[in-house]
Amino acid sequence: MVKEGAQLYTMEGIAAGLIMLLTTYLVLGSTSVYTPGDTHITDMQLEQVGSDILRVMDTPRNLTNSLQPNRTDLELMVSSTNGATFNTMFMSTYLCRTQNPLPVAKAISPECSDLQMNAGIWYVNKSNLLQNNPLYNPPLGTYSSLGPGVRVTHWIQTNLTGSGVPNVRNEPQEVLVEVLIWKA
Amino acid sequence: MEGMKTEGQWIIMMGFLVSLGIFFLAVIISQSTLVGQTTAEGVLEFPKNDIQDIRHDILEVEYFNRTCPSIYGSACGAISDNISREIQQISLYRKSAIVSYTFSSPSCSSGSTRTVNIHYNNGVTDYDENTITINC
Repeated sequence: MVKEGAQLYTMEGIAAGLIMLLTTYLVLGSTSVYTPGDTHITDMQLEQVGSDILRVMDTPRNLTNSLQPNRTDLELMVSSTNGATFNTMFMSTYLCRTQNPLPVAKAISPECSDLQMNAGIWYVNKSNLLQNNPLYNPPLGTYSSLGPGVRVTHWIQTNLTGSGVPNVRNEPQEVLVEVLIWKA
Repeated sequence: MEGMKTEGQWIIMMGFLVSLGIFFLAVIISQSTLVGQTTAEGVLEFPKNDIQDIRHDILEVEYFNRTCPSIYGSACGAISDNISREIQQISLYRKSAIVSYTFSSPSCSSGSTRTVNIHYNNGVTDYDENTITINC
């Protein structure tokens, strides 16, 4: 006589197996969604640091003449198109500072020299068209990139009259400073 | 069937219960990663720096708008209109955002305030602000 008890165990085994497969499928499927979230976190940090640096550069050194034209370092460098100083200040004084207090960017990139930046300004010219004027271009050969670049911007209200920036309107105006930072 | 033991039915029933439990836990786990991703995307997409920046600039424009007549006289209306258009034009082309602002008309009585209305929309985030500054 054949015993029938084993049939129940077989059925249970099959049901358990199916459920384990389904669970594995769900778990594996869910982890693959995770990638887009965390890839940009370091970029976000660099963007925050860059944005903060521009804000610090646009802070008046002397509070008594605050809200005067060309009162901040950033406005002075933009109106005199002084890209070299802008680059030195942005990279050496703030982003890659080697003396205390050390900036956050050191944590992102221990060898800060591999960070590169390109800066320019956008303004509305005499013909009511948007115009770009480069502020700082890095030397040729540094344009290759290891990762995605981040773009940080800062609005300034200034007067570019007589500044050498081409086609400017001769009155106070809005200027957008755009800085692209990437790891070369 | 008479001589058959019935304990196996209990094993099957408990097996189903436990596996149902595991199944629901798996569903919850898969949902949680999705929720985490949505939250991370929300943080990444929120233009915090852009809003802070444009807000700072508009408040400076408000100061300029207030002090302008003493420096530029009757040209002030045109200059303010141009600044407003420049902000709109540059934000639209370079920042993909619609920005507009209005100031309530200035009055110089003591203790009076001025309302600044800022509107920002970049297609994902809509930001409106009504803020009050000192007048004169």
